[in-house]
Amino acid sequence: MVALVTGDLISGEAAMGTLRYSLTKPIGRFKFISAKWITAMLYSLGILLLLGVFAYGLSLVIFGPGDLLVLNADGLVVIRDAELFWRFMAAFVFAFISLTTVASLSLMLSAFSNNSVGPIVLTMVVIIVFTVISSFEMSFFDPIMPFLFTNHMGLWRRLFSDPIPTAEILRSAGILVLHSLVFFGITQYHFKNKDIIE
Amino acid sequence: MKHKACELVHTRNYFVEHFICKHLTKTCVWIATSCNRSMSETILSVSGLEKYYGTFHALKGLDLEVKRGEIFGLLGPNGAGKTTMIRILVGLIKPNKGTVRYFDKIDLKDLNDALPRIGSIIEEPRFYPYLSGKLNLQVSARYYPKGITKQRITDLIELVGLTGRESDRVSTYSQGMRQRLGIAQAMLNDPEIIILDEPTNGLDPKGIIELRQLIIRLKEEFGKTVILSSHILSEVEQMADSMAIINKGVCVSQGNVSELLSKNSVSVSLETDDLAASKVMIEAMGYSVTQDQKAINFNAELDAIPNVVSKLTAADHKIFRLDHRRKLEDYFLKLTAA
Repeated sequence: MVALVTGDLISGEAAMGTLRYSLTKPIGRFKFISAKWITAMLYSLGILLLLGVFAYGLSLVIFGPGDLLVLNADGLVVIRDAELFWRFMAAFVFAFISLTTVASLSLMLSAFSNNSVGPIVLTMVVIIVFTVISSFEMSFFDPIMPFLFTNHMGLWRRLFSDPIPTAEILRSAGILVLHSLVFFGITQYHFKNKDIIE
Repeated sequence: MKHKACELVHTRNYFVEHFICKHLTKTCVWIATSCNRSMSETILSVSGLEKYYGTFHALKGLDLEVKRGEIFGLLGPNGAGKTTMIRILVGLIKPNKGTVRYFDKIDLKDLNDALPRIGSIIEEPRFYPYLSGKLNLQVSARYYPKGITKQRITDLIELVGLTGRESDRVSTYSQGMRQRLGIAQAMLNDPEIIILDEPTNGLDPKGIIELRQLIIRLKEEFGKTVILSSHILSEVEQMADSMAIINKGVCVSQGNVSELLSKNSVSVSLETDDLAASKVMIEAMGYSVTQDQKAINFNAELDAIPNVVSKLTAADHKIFRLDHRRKLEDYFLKLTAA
């Protein structure tokens, strides 16, 4: 959903022809891209909030309050009722950081394209390919593993471990934020120098 | 009684003062405008503009100068570089070389300072089709830091003749209506310069006439400088005060439209009582003459026509009709043929 909307933010305007009209107004390209990026973030946050409310609300309605049983790599973990809300919140904050990376990637690809479908499909392809590579337990891929941002996106699950691997989660969150900033920087640099000829 | 008389005198004085003030202001504005025009202030100058698309050299050192308050026609065949130049003027494309200077002081690197004083339509105007015409204008208005009033939007809708349709979705608009909405959008910030790239493209004859009238109004009523790119020669000939002809990325001619055309030969059509004898006589003056059933036709310098007429009348040839046309087509083709 995030890729679907953010991938269309710039290229959709280029395809519609409204991009050239926006850029002939006195706003500057940096502001234009920044506004698009903030919109992408707000949209991601909106989707996540909706998802969060549904997930947490429905769980409460269906299963009721109380302790949570989680089956993960460490085995069966029991999370106390008192810890549940903040763990959920922390997981959603981490998920927001992950989605920020996806949105930034999608926006970057959108700045390179003049049609709406390309960036959306390409974002999905990147995520799927990276996820598939991450799931292979082959030493051949080991050198590139730390650079695959999808490797870090699933770490929200570790917030339901006991104890929580805080350092690992913070490191992954940092890597994801760094990815977002790099994608944002590339978008700004490319768009600043881009000739609008569509 | 005396008191009332005083009041009346005061009231009269007030009206007289108000009248004088009002007309003095009008006179001052008129004088200022006239001075401004007679000063022929350069509002845009382009010098040595070059642009490459890969290895293709689209603009090869283009020079132009546009004066305040004129309609400036930019003519050229397809692919001559008109749209590239216009996109550079509004900051959509970056030139490889050369300078663009607005209002005698603002360069391209500070274009954001000039853009609040410029309005443009680049190729066909594009809008959000799912929004109404008015909402599209309101969205555009948000780009201007000083803000655009709702009244201004209403006034512009009226100016371009879209009153009554402003709340309809743009997707239901005809091409002509979109073009007029584009002009309203370009006028939102009350710009000093309006840049129109091929504004009559895709319009029917009625739409072309309406748009032409609107463009002339922008100049005459609102004192706007209009830069108009077109490959339709008659369009430029009818509207523009000055023009530049661009061919293969260079400006091959620039100046006042009538002066440029008067420098060149005109096409003369002459109807006399004895076409054959007149033809022989004009040929003897060194002109190449063709004859059809009703008239003889030849090309001559504008200044030479009285001489031809006087020689014919001196030889007792009766002239029933004489037409001459300054043919922009001929001039254009002469410059762009190579």
